[in-house]
Amino acid sequence: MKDELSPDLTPGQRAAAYWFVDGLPELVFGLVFLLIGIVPFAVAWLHLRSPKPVLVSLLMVFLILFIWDRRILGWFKARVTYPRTGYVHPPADPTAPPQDFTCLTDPSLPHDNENVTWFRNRTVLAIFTGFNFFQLFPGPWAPSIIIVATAAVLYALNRRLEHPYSLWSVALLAAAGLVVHWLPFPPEARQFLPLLTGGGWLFIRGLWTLVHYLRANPLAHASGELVSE
Amino acid sequence: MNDRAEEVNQLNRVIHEPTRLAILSILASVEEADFLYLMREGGFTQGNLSAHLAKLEEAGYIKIVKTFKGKYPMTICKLTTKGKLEFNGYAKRMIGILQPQKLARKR
Repeated sequence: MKDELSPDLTPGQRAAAYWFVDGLPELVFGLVFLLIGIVPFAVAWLHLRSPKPVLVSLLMVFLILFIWDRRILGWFKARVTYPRTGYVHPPADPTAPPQDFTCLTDPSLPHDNENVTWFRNRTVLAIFTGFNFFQLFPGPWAPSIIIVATAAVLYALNRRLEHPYSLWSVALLAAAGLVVHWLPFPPEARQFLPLLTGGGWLFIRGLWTLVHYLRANPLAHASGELVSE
Repeated sequence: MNDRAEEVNQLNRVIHEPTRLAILSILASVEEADFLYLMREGGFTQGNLSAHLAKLEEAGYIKIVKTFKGKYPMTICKLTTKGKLEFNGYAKRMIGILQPQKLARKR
């Protein structure tokens, strides 16, 4: 298999980056965000009654996924990833205080050899938080501004970590944020546009990665058993 | 024989072997990893890796457990406490050999 992980990373950083090699974390979190984001649109377009029960349920799903992501994703990985390219202990979330501002200027990688990921803190929460900022900045341009700002934040916060986002990738998200301004969405559903767009972006990234991963690593080629002497 | 050469002679020969050193470097940074991951990460062949893992297990530096994740059988390798101590000791000794000034400054 072609090694898609950067050779410049330490073993611990490569192990952390390996958590994302199949696209499953992004795909699963992206799907949950997409579903949450779609609910208000479905309610408005289909003229349904209150969206609250569905929204609350989906938020509970998100909370469960956020807390138990290792276990849930591990279940999928046991069937998709580990038989193909092996297993390594999932990365931990960082215990050190985040150095958000220094990592923007510090040229050296900010974390050590530990198998650690900032995905939940810096990607998942960034997208989820953007959705909440709508209340603070009402107005027709609010969703677009929030989406573009989220794209910039995602790029800046992750660029020196185990799972950076390329400039063109976040530019696509930012462009989507600008495009949504001109699309005819119901006013009551506009608050959910950042979550819908961010979730959709994450989901598509995850799906793209998964498809490439499965094509590059067919199951029949994997061979990883201890040979007795 | 000078001090530095003496230090080199005293290096742990179980660890001081490229493949085994690579294996321990990987395992030192993660809680555990399976055979397939180690093979791909280190670029080892199956037979080569098996032989070196057996040596490390014999020395008590790693623990090898055969288990299942889902329905998939796995051979999981993990550093033991002894392995961690020996590896850290080896790393310190190597720093002392290659960068004695750095070690002196720390003291």
